[in-house]
Amino acid sequence: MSNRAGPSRRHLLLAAAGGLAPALILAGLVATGAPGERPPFLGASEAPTRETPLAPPHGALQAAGSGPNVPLTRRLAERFAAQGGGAIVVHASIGSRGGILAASDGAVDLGLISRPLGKAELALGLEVVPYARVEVLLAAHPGDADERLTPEDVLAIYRGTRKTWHDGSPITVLLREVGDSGQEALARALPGFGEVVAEAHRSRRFRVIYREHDMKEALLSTPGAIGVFDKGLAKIEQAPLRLLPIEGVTPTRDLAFVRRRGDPRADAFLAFVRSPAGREIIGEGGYLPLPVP
Amino acid sequence: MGEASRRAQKADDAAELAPERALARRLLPLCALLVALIGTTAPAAIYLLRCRELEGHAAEVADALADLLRDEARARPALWRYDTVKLVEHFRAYEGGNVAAVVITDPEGDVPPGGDSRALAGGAAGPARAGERVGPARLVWASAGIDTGTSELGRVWVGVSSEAMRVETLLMLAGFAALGVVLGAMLYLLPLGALRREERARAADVAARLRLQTLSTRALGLDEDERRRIARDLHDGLGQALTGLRLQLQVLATRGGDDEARHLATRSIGLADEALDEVRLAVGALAPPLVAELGLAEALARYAEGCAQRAGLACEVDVAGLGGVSIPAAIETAAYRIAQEALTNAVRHARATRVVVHAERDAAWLTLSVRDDGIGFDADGAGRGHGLGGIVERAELLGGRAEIGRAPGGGTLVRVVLPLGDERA
Repeated sequence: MSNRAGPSRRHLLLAAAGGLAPALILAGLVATGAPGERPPFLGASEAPTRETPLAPPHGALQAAGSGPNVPLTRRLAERFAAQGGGAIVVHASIGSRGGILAASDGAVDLGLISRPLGKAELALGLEVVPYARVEVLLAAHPGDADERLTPEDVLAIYRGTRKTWHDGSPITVLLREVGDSGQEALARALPGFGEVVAEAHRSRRFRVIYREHDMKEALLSTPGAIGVFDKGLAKIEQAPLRLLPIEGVTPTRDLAFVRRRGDPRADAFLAFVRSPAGREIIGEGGYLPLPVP
Repeated sequence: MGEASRRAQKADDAAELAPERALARRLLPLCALLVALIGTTAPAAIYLLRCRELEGHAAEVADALADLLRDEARARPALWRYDTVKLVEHFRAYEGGNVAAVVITDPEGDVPPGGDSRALAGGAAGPARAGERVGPARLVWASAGIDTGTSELGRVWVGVSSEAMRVETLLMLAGFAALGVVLGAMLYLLPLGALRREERARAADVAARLRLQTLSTRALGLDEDERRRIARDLHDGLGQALTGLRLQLQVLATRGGDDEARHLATRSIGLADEALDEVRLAVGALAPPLVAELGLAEALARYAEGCAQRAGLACEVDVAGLGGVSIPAAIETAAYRIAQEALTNAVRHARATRVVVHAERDAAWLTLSVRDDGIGFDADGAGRGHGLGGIVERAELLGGRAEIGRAPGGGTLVRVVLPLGDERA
């Protein structure tokens, strides 16, 4: 198209711009549009600052929280009740986080935790009462696992490069969810384990288990399975798992109660836990009673 | 009135546009429309469908989670909300879709502590901000109520990543826009290219024809000069000789010796007269003597008036526009012959009572018209005869053109335009 006979270059540019304008508008809509419903919390400048009212006093002392903490707390509660200390309802696991939030809301009198409080959780102003320490280790299906493992074995198994036990049977790794206190305790004690587990989560290489009870069931029902478990839990629940010590590595985690308010029944229970009788029960369960501060 | 003038001016301007320019102006909006349609229609449709698909997926997940949470709430009415994060993460692990966030709100629409699943995965704690990205993704949200049958405990909001869909749509948009531009350019350039080639070919053809006409005009000019020289030689040579011979025979016929000699002289005078007539006819056929002697304007005037006088017609001649400047001999002769033919037709066939002869010239063209008030002739050319056909042929041979048709108000109009050689524009 010569400028002599046809439209000027300006006209051509205008035509091209006119033709492409709808495409550019659509591109803008695609890039910035927000299809679907609009949640009410979007656009909120900050979290709602509601004062959570305390739940009304419960008839019986209520406790809920971390799964590894539940069996030992139940055993302590049974002995406490048997000595005339009053009934304590220990609910099924809602996790350490759930226990902290429930205690903060007053939904339970005691929250059960198996990990330290995070920065935001410390701001809730809860009282933390550590009472027992337990060894975290690897547990396997009772059938065909090795007797013990080296740190290199553990890393190779969780990295997926070692796929069989010594007898050639396949290894099935069972992961815990991100943030699980047992898995984090092992990561603190075994260098490189945290990175290997994180990579396993990213690649979705292994099945993820979300509760202690489910982990126990999975380990017992899956030949060749291996997963992070709790020595005290295995003992107190009499789970026929093969516990695999890791050479030179002894990870532990502390169990604790958290509470928001002073309650005489809770005070009595905590006193029982710290008493010689309570410490004996803790030791019988395969846990190490922590000294009273 | 002003608007009408502007419209008329616009129409005139449009009519004067070169075909290529006019075509280009018509094609440009079409091309722009084509680019817009191709560039946006398919991506827009696909984008909307994908949005609906993502919304549907988010709604399905929200419904399933709401059912799960409702069962949990029925089983543990006091504590269910404190375990939702793990429950949701467990669900997401096996859901297998691209769910990026699950947020549970209370009946007031606020996010209670523990209601945001992103906190578990190390995401932002607290309520999401407008336009917040979870990871690299923007989210398409859907919700479902956690309804126990007696009350709604809250709502579960599921955010599905739309990032992949957006990237795919933008890439598709770019591809279709490029396709639209290519097709638009083809729609624009292909017809213009074809038209340009056609115009070049036509221009070359016109140039060749003009060269041919120029050569033809020059050849006719040379031929006309030669004919005039021969006619002049015949007139000045043979004609003068025959005239002298006749004068001497007249003397012999009146002063001869005996009757037989005078009789022979008288017969010879008759033969000389016949020879002179033959010479005059030959000279007239070779070149119009009036044109050669008087020039085209005067020759046309005399011939037309003489012709009309002989036929008893009224005659009007206007040749002032020819001026005194010389005209190529071939053009002069052709114009004169054409006027002769047109007048002959008017006298012999048109039953006319009046003829008007008009001739004028400018720098490039000579225009001649002969109009009568006769019965005219059929427009399809029937009855034109060889004479009128010869007018057209003679004009075209010189690079001119002839129009023969009905005159306004009746009669016949013969109009001829002839080029004046190298002075043509």
